[in-house]
Amino acid sequence: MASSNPAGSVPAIALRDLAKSYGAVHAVRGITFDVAQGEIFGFLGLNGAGKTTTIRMLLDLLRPSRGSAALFGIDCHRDSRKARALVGYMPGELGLYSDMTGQALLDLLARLSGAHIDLAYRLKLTDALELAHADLRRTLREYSTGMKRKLGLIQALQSDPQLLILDEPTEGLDPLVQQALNEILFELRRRGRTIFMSSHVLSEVERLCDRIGMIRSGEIVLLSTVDEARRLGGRLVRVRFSRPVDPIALPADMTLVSRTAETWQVRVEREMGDLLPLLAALPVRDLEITEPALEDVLRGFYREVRS
Amino acid sequence: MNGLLALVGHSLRRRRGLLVGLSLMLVVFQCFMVLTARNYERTGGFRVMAALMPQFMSQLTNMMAATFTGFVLFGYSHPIVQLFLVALTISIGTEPVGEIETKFVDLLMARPVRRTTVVARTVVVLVTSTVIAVGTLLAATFVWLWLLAPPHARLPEPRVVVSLAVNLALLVVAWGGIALGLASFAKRRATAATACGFLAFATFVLDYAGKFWKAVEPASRISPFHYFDSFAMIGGRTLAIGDVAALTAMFAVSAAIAGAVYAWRDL
Repeated sequence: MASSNPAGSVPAIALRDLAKSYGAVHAVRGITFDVAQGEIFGFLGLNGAGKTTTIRMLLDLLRPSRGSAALFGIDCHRDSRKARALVGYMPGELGLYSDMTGQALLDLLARLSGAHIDLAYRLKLTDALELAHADLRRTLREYSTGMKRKLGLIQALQSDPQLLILDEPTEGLDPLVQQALNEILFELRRRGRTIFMSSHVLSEVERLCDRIGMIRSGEIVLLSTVDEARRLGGRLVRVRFSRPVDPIALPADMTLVSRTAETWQVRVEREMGDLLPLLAALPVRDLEITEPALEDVLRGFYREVRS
Repeated sequence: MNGLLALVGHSLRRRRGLLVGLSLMLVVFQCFMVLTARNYERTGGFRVMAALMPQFMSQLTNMMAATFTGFVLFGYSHPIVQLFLVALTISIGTEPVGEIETKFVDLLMARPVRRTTVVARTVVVLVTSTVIAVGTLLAATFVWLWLLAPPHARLPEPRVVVSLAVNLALLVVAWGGIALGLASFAKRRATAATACGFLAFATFVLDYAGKFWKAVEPASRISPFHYFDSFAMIGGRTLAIGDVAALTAMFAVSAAIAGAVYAWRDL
């Protein structure tokens, strides 16, 4: 898989032949790609595909069996502390001590981050994610799953890091808070921050991400912009005729999905240009072009692995 | 340094209830020992005790159990006291693997924190907790003796009490280091703590067996308990440099192994 770095500067994340094996089990099989600074990158895959393993190697929690990873050009293993100083991380599975208060957790993690924490910014995040200030003084055993996820997001965001790594960030959040999180992430991108997020919610990925990477059985099987990925599904063209027409031969990149006497549905996988001369000789009354949803494309990739 | 202090503060705050509870228990235990010794001293109970004491017991305790001094200081060698203190340090020594198991480590180590800082935090908490617990026992001994000792009783020399406390603290810290070292190879805290508890019990029995059975005596030298001969110290023997060195070495080697393993392993 070729690497790419659209911005041309030092990539925020650079993975080179990164692999992790546990004996005979290959969790990640030599993946290579870059995430450019300032983009929102969606890292997709089914459960057990290798997403969290990859993320934990970026943070030096797991040691790669082969290859390397770098954040902003800093090696994640050799110069791990420097690399981690640039990161805010929200794990998919939050390990919290139930006897701590939310405030105590945020304070502890702020001290460990070594960065200056703007308390006003922390409060702004708390408000935006609808976590009451009084809740921060409660112990975590009194928190609901959603409240814990919000706290997880605040601890990742509070130091305003250069790179945010979010593992399933919207899981357990209600739609309004998801919307608030999306706005926060867009705002961060406007300020040049890089966001690397794994997610199962494909509609959310489509809405948020500039580029996506899909990992399947430890290998990257798709790496593209959201628009390019969407196009892989092919556009659906519905042609209505003013009178019944006979079928005609279509080029290889077009498929006649359905046909009645006066209506055709054609899937066009590449450019539309080739279809137009074919239709010119026919009594076309109306044309309707439907862009494919990313979800449909990605589900196709998922189904491939299931089958 | 800021990270280390933050982690130490967090760890101590989380176990302040346990520490306070254990310290209170030691205070009450020591009060009970002094009160009982006072009662025996007044009623001549020690003479009866010495006459009834089986030979192996007299041999083991250097006859010191049947004196006011020996009885008051029995807490320092009492298996229950040692068990509680060793259990405390095993719980502290297995904290890093507990953080890995619960995934709290993901939050900690996503920050610019050295892996060795986590081990250093545990070492600091181990030593601090031991000093608090054993220091409380030591202070309780002096306070209860001052308040409750009968006027003509022969009181233990402060040098002896302090030596016992230092040796006991070193033993407890050594077990904390061993727990830290063993746990560094484990994936689950319960597995590490159980293995360490079993090892502590086995080596306690081994040391006991070594006192009575010459054939086992060489093997009992691997037991950390071998390097805390409380009855000899109650009898007047000073703190042995060899014992201090052995327990310190056990702690240092275990902590160094833990540091190396945590630096290398997957978290």
